[in-house]
Amino acid sequence: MLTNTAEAEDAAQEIFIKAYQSLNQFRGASSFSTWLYRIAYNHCQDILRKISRYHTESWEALAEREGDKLERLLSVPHDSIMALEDCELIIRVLSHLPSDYRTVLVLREIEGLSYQEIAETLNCSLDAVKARLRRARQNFEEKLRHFLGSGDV
Amino acid sequence: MNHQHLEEKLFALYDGELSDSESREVRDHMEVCLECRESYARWKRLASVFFRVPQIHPSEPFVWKVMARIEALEKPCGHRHRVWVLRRLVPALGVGLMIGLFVWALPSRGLEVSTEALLLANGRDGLAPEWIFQKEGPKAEDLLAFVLGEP
Repeated sequence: MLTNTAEAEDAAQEIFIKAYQSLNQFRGASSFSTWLYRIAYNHCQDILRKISRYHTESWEALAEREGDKLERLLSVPHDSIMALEDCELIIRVLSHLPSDYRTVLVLREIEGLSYQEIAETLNCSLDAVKARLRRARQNFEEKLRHFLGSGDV
Repeated sequence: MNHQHLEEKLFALYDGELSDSESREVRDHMEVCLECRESYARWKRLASVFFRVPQIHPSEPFVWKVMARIEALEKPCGHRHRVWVLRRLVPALGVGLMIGLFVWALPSRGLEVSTEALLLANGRDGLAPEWIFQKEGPKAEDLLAFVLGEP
């Protein structure tokens, strides 16, 4: 959810401390991992609200500057370990997604949460999760469609 | 089902959130629909690049930092517990002391008989047999003997 390694590590520390301090509030209504994800989500949302105003690089500028790299990234198979440079580019691309889209994509694609678990984490309905995921994917695809060669699909 | 409806289910198929019958229905549709097939493959490709992050394991320094902070949180808790105990222990001790003093004072109050009261109650000749002093007895008897003029 966060796009900076140092920020993410600090946030992870704070999340564990918050979880420890709130342990007596865990009632078992959801799984422990979902409860922990909810704490993480709320904490990251607070951070993202604070840092959103510092985002200076526009998507157009990034696409223009890193277009070749994005094309190369999307054209070669990625079964091997990714280069650090590519990882940083991916993080920069993801940072251009609206935070609610990025959140739902991270929970689904990286954390592998089910729709139900995402709904519990984000405190919303199952239909809202499906709709938000669909819009997030469409938004992401639209941004990168230009860099996906027709022969890649 | 129409193309529009099945297209919406493509992502659910990708996420493994469809029942067997629904999955079969969408897959059958994809066999004949190039647009849906491409859309599905496009997302699969994007996800394989952008969400294929390595599993992150917490480093030892990270674990130490978190544990040190949790231990630091525990210390004030212990102090708070001691304060909590003192807040209840001190009044309890106070009440106990008061009760102790009261109980200790009770017998001595029974011995507090003034010479005048004794004389008025019994007169010079009739010292009542119930006036038996348990604690300060000898002194009181000496005093009475002196007052009553007895040897």
